[in-house]
Amino acid sequence: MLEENVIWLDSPDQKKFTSFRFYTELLDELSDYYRSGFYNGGPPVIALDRSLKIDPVVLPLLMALGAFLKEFHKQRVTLELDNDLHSNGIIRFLEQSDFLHIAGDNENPTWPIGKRLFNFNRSAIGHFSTKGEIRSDHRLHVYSKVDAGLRHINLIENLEKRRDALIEHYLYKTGNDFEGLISEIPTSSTIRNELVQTMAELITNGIFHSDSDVYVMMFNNRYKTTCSIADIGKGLHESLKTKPPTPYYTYGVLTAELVEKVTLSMPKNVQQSAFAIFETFYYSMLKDRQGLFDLMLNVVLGCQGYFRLHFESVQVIVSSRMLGQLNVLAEIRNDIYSLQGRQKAFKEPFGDYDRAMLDYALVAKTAMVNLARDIFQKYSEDVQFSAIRLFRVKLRGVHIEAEFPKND
Amino acid sequence: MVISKIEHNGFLYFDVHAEQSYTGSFLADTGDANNNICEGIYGSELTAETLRNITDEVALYKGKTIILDFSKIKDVQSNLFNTLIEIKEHSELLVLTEVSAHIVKKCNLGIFDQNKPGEGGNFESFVLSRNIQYITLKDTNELFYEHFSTLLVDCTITNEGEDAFRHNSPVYVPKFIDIKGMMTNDSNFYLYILYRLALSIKEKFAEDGSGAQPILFCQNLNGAYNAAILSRFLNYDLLSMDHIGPVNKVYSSIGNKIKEEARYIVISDVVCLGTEIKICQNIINYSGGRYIGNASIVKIETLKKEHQDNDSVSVFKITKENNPIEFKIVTALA
Repeated sequence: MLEENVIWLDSPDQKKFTSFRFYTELLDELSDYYRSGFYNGGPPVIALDRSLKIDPVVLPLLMALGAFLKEFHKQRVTLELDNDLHSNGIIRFLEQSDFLHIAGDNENPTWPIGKRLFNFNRSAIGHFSTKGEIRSDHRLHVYSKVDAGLRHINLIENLEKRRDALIEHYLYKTGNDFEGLISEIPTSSTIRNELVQTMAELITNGIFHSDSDVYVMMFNNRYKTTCSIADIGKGLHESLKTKPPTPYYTYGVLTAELVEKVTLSMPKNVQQSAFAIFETFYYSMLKDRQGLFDLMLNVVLGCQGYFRLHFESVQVIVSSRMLGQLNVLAEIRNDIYSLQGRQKAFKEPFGDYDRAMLDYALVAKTAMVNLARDIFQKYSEDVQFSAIRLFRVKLRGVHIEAEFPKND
Repeated sequence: MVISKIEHNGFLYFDVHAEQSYTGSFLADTGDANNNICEGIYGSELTAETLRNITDEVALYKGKTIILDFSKIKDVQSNLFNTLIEIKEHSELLVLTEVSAHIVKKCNLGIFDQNKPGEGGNFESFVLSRNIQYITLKDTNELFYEHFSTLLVDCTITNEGEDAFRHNSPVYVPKFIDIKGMMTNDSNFYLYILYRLALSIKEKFAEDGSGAQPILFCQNLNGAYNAAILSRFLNYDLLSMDHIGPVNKVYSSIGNKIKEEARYIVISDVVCLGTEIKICQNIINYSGGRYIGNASIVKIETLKKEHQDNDSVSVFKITKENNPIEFKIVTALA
């Protein structure tokens, strides 16, 4: 709810503040604010209503928004906390999940050091009721390129090696940071391992590609484990543009095809963001190392989970509902990866390899276009349960949620 | 640097889990105060740095067959394929032993499709070659003990005559096992010895249902060196009390160091008659802690099997049948 320059976050009728509400309501109100007469060059105030029930996976998004607004306005956004000493559960949650420590200017090393993204009244924190324990594991984490632990890794010149070193570092780190939550998931140790690896790779992607801080929250409830990762980096276009062209891939080749094949009408910038997601998957699918595409397949096919990727104003939700098409893609990916393995191991001539890759790239392109067309087709039939969501307002950076249902 | 390398008949053997434990205990921690990384021997996932270290070591040799023992490795970091191929290129032949189908798939090794899985889809040995290769591998335990015996023999000092007199025990010991010599002669392999000791400690003492970890108790300089490394491998706390054995000291303030009801394992280098262990046991128990056993590099079994206490683990036992250094204990009576 926007009132003058204050955006109220609340939960009327106990309606949880989810990432969907974040992308629709909050971002919309924010854009309304900038168009309203109350905008005088300063950032809006974000006020938390006492009724607010927040979905923990929104915390990284709020953090990313705070970081973005601070960068834009060169000043911090004010967060208004209303503590009536009685119904202050939301403030208690934000404090105990380390959100307020990271968002503010905390310098006490007992908690994460503050990133100074929000202004808030510190005296409003406290006098919490002790009713109902909040899990100490449910904490927001922030990872940054300037962390002391990365000092040596940042010096590695070879990009592939630096990436491997980053993944390795975050394997240990996520193992430590999320051990309690992950060990509780009633599944095999292989899947748990996969989860740690997934987190490590997602954080690495954020740090490696976007050069921004990465905010991570992992949350367990009775039905699922969700991890949410947000950055405000340069985004998919910019990182794809820097890739050197190969005989079988040049930047924009899939987008060009999608522009032709997808008939759904949407604003140009929305279309660009949407196609960039598929372009990224396609690029990653042709690559000679495992990356985002394999990760997505692993979450959906390996762990029966959901993979939601939000970029600018589009969110794509990959789930087992697209099993048929994903299996086709997985098979092509396997063939490509084996071919690349054989080329490296047996030193097959590059000409043959390029020709074979070119064939695979065409097959992969068709399969990817089919997936995209299907998703857009279903969107025009049924917006609410569609695998793609188009939002009015865009938020910079890449935001990923991976959700693992508990099948017990 | 690698710790588990053993060379035998043109073959180089590596214990991948030992290497991973070394990385996880000593290399992964980046010195960030907010980030204490110590995975110890509990990690079962092979990471890039470990494989890189093995590659660097292999690159120093030419024409060797490389055997990587994957037996305790359950998973691998993604994208290790290139490094494995690099090792293959440095070697005559690269063989992975006891490797799971999951790892083979994840490392993209399915392209070496002449390897046939055994029961359960895992591979007893997996050769990175297009042709079928027949090789005979030596048991890695046997190799370890052979290598250990050689080092032990090299580091044993003979003290004949008057020199055999020991101040701390009323016996003559004409052979002196120079543990410091073992540490310095082959410091990397010595870490592997401690890694194996850590595995045995974990197996014997780790669980008592209370959830609390045992504490390592050390009582001399060599013991402290061992305990310091073991405490990284095992993630256990350690308590050091120097000079309990050879010097007669009165401990008037020991009580405040021992935690009540905590479980203690005494770490030493060589257990001969066990006098020092007994002193430690008394100190621990008297102060309210619980002595649960001891761990050493070499243990001299002076008693018959049926009379031995069942509270100790060691890497190498010197018995009547297994005495490569002709160790003996002499008294003035015989």
